[in-house]
Amino acid sequence: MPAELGSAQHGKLKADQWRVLGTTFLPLTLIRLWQASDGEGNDDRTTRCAQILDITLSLLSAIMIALSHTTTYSHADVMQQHLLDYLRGLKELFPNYKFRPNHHMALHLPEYIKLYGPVHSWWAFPFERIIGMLQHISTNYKTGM
Amino acid sequence: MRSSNLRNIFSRHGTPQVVRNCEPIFQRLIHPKSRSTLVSDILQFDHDDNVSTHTDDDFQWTPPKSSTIPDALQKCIQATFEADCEAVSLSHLTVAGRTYSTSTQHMGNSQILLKSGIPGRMIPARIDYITQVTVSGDLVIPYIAARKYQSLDLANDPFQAYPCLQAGLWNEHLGDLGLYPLDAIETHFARLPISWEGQCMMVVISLNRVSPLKHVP
Repeated sequence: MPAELGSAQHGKLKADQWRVLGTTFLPLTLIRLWQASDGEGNDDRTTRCAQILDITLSLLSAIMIALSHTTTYSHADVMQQHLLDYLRGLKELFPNYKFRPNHHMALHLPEYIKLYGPVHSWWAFPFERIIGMLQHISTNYKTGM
Repeated sequence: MRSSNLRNIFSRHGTPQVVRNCEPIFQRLIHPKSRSTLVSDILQFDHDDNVSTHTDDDFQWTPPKSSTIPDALQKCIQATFEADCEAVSLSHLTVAGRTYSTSTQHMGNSQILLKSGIPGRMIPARIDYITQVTVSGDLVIPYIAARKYQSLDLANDPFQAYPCLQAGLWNEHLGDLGLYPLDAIETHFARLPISWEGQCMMVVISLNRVSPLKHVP
């Protein structure tokens, strides 16, 4: 992970960096900061943070299941449940938030996992990588020369 | 310093890991054919054509076949195997694309989760030594000597509420050294030292690439 994460200097994160951030760094940090231990923090902010933590962890749980190197029909069903928990929680906590097409698209992923197996065998990242390599080749913008 | 003293540095227990990592450089330094000395000059004329075919690129360092076994590891092996056996100490081992190292070689690669015998429950440990034990004459079996982290008697572990994370709070203190076969290793883990309810402890998060099937409604 970039050492200066959060500042403008590090630029955009790559997809795999987002994965590491979401599945390792973020949950540990958020639970440590937002999960109140017994007998402390009964104010509104603490409750709100705990609710946001719950829906965030629903999303991260769905991602972790989706990225599993082996999968089953049950994995896909549990992933669907976590995604629905996340979207319903988002709607409840942020009523004015406008959902994006990707939110809808994500709900179809469990279906594809059931059809084609673990995502690594059919996701588009290898193609994206090739596109990135091609984009870095110097050309004179003249076809065939 | 005499070259024999340099050779002995690596067979001696207690040599710092940073020096051990430089072993190929030292070997090159003390190898007679790669030194620019009178010996190497004479050696260059030991062929009929008076031209040496040896170049620096030909030099290949071969790791020693014997190494000193630390006392703690030796006791561990003796406690596990009744009969005398031959053992070699290794700094790292790669199995199915995953590299396991001793804690002095690479702290991250030495952090492992051991199977506990209870499904879904794993115990974090630190690899202190890796060894290959020769049993029954020609059967070589690799083992790791690791110390398990001690569990915490905590009523409310906040990470247990999210089982998909495969994370939990553990004591930072290590237990006794034990010898384990490679199939006892589940995966690596990452850890974060934290202070929770006034106590110093660490969060352990599994780096397993296979998700367990759990959901808390």
